[in-house]
Amino acid sequence: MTSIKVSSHLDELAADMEKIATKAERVMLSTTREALKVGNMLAKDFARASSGRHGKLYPRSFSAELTFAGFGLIAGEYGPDAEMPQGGMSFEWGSRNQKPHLDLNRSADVIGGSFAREVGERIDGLFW
Amino acid sequence: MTTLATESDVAVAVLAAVNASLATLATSRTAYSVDKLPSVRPSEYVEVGVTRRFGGQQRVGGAWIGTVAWRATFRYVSQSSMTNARLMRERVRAALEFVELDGVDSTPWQFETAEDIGPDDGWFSGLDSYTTTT
Repeated sequence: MTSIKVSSHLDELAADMEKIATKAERVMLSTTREALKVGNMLAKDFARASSGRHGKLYPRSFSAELTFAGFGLIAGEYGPDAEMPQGGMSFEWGSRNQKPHLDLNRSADVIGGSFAREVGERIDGLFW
Repeated sequence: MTTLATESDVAVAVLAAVNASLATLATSRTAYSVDKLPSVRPSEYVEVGVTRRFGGQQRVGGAWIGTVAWRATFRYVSQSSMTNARLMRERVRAALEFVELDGVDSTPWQFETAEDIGPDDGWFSGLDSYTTTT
């Protein structure tokens, strides 16, 4: 005969929900930070392959930072920093004399899907 | 068995669609792949690039479905007018966005990103990119 043992109750779920509300922001902050770091690494690798002799310093100008967190919104950015040597070069979108390199677009192709899935999984993880 | 579209198939379909749309402008302009750009550049034109991109269609569980993803870039170039560069941008958008092209079995093209049209070495230009999956 099959039996079911109940080990959780609604009041426990209610307590968990209260904790999740505060824990979710911390978890999403770390998820976003990791995604920014990985996205930047990927973009830097693409830039290293595409920048060539004339843009040797360009890949070193790549950095990632969390730019905003609050009001339910977390935002960050990564890519070449125009303040760094060669960071302002027009490699990403090219020009009429140079084809676009699309290092950031290529990195977003990889990290975009993974980030969305990771966010879903970590939210799911908050309930267990 | 379905034959997957090649990069050439996609490039040919994109150029045909975009050029048909550019031809409807009061003064017709032409879109070129880099190798077909005249050595003396026209005063106004669109430069087109097509390349494969990572991914395709992915199920929620993570598995990839047997599809191939593509990216097309368009640089709108005008020697003297940002307005004319914008006109070309608009004709390309009309030809591609939410449209499945003839000759290639694909998802409708989607806008991805844009660079402002602005000064470019004494001329004016800006870039768009669109994506699709075949």
